Amino acid sequence: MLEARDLTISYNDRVAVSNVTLTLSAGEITTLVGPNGAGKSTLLRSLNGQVSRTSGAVLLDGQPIEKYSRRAIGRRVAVVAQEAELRFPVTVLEFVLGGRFAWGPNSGWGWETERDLVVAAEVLAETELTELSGRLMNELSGGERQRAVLARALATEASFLLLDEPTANLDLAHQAMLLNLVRNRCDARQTAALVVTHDLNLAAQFADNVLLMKDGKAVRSGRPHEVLTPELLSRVFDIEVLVDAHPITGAPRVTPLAVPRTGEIK
Amino acid sequence: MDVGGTFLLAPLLKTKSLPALVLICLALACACHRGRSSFSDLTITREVIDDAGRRVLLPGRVDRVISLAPNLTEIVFAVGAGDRLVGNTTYCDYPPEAKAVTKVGDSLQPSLERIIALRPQLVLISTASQLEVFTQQLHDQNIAAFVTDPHDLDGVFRTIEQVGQILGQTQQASALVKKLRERTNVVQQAVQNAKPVRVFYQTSGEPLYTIGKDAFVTDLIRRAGGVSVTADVPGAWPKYSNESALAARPQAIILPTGGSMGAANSTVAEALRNSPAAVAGRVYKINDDHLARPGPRLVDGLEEMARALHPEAFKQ
Amino acid sequence: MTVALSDPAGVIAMRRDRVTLRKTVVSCALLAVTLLLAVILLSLVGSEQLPVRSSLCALLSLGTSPCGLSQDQFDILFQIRLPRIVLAAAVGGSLATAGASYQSLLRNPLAEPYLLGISNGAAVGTMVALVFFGASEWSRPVLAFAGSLLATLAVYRLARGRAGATPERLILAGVIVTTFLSSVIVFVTTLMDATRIRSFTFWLLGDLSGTSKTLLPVTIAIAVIGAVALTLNARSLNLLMLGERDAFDLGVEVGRVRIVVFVVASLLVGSSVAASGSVGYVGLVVPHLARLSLGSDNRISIPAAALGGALFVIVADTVARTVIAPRELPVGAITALIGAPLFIYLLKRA
Repeated sequence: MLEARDLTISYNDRVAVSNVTLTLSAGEITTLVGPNGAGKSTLLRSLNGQVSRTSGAVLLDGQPIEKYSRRAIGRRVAVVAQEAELRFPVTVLEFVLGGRFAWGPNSGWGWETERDLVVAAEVLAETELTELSGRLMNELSGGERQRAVLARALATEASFLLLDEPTANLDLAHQAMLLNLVRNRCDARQTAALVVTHDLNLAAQFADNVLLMKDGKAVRSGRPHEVLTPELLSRVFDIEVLVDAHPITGAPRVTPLAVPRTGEIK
Repeated sequence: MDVGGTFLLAPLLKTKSLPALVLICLALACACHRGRSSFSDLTITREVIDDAGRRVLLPGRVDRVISLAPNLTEIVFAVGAGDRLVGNTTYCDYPPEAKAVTKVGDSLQPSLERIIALRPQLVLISTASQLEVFTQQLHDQNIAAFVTDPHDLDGVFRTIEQVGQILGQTQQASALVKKLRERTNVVQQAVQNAKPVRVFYQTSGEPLYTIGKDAFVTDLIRRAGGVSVTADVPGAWPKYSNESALAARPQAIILPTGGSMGAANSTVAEALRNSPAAVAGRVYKINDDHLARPGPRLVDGLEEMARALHPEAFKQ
Repeated sequence: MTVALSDPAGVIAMRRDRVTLRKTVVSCALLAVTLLLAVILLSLVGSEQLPVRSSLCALLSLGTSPCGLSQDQFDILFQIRLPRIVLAAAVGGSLATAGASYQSLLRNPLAEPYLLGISNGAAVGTMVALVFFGASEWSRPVLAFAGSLLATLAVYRLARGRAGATPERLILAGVIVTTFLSSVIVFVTTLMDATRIRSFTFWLLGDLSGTSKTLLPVTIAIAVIGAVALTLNARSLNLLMLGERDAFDLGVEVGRVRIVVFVVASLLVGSSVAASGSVGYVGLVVPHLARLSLGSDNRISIPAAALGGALFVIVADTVARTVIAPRELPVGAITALIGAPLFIYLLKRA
């Protein structure tokens, strides 16, 4: 289990996250939504030990995350974020094999094992990148590259996937595809996923739980239809919204109605 | 048609005050004249050619001269014009009186401002200090710059005579050169029948530098009864290959050290440790100031080298 | 669609694309053999002509038999030429390894000890040693190491912005540090006398003619140890090369690896500069060539760069010490003359 308990994170005299409690349970997708500056990414980054807490705790399998080595965390928690600019040529296969680092020997050296190759083959198949495995990452489209990033995260065989705005910059088809892949993984292996996203409808469609944040505080957490209500959304996002049900799936569907209350855009 | 101007000038031209007019014009001309250094003496009476082939225009008497190299300072004092030296470099330490003269910087980076502030009529420059760029700046300030560049001992004697002439100390300069030539002849005659000793002149050990065809020390070694093993190498101060130095098998090694150089270059280069010279103990340390400064003391260096290379020729 | 776990064909096909232990060993062995051949053949070349057969015989006998060479010829071969070639190899290997590591760590193919000001830091350290501790031979590499370490820290500190040390900021910081230290060097040079300046300027451009018997083994040892230490971090560097945050997420101890690379690379640069001045372009061109021909995987490109750098500088130095024999050119001039056009060509190909 990966959880944040009453977590507060502040730096530079700014409180980024304030008394937030969040639990990621096996097989479930939790989405983290809220306006900019709500502390979503900071919270996500604290869950793999990258950002240090000011008070409260981040617990992995019941132990404070500070107790684990980077390698140990790498085997349990994987992050899918905006892919950094690649300045060196690397093939998709080499890129995805990078995810096996934490399973290698306890040093900066070592060669890939049979198992590493097998896992890589599996995740490449899972993300439908097998034909592209010999190509250079720079030759891929944006959507394909993001799939490769997901593949690398899946190759770590981590029980917890943290995805920081994975669908930004992706076209419609790839957005849905990516989250479908996450859904499939969670269903197949009982992986837990945390997805930070701006897209409320995508969140509504794929999430089992939603955590709504504003100014570092948790406003509401629960099932999508409990959290994605007009009152809460208009309060948090400062904009009038209409929430109806998706005609096919029945999930909440959010439509902004007017200009932001505090904005001047006409 | 400048009718008005002619109208004004005409009465003036007709008066007997023409000489006065000329003087007034001259006075106006020198007031507008750029370059403060020319204030003291307007009349350019002489033109000399320096070692760089430049035409240098000089006044009749030079009272304020600056030297930008230690050898030139020694020459100025040696021809008896030391009292007219108003500036020299931080390296100029001989004769002892030279140390008291106002410093304008070192020979590589002299201060143009200081030089101008001292209002010299002439600046003496040695190309050994690589100041070609500087001479242009002096020219722009209307300060006469005289460049010296002797390639052998005769060239050094000529420089002494030239400086003597420029400073009006022709007699002293000639007497000095006569004495130096006599000493040189004594040395050359003493060694003329001896077999020339093969010499390696080590300017610097690590990295290994020596003298080439264009260095005046090469000529000096020849006169001292030796032959530089690097006499054919192009250039003046080449960086030399360690293996060629070893293969040259010099019979004697000269280490210019001491003097203003201090303790630097006082050990034989690694490549020559097993040379015939080192094995026979024929490694001679000679005051660098007597060998690196193309001035009167170069003959001291000549004598010291000759005594080292042919001790039997000087047994008195 | 899932790939059956027992799909040897698929997995084996994948293996052909990657860098494997076998590929690494074979490439490095080839390079090592070429290096050995270069050492032997190029020690037959120099400003003095040596009889070829006797020299080869003496070399192959490892110096135990003179094989008909005169004492002088033997000394030239074993006291002057061979140590110089070995020093060239050590310096070339050190600089190329350092360059390859900086490029991976700083995620910038242009990162090079010279461009980043680290060579200049080492040069300033060496100058301080020469001026204040002239008598002690050890002071040079020690202070050179201190200088390169300080320069590295300065560059890193300057480059750290809010978004971390991006490659652009690093190069900018490197340029600032390089030019600043260059001015320091020029300033100290003006305090020297004329004869010292000439020899010092030569040294600054790279001079392998120094013959210190005590420092040569140290330089070799550092080159080997440094290359090994950095190769042992190659897998971490592979991930760091793709992004510090990503590497962190995947389990790399980023802070630790960064310190190891900075310290070891500074040591490599410091010992090279102390022994031979600034030999530029090696850390830029050789790692590029290694990556172009063998791939970006550091497990192969770092050792390949080490061996390739040794080869490159040996060849450049042979040119420097023979082309205007018996005079010599600074080897840094040759590496620049070869390296600059080569680099332009590489840029065009990329």
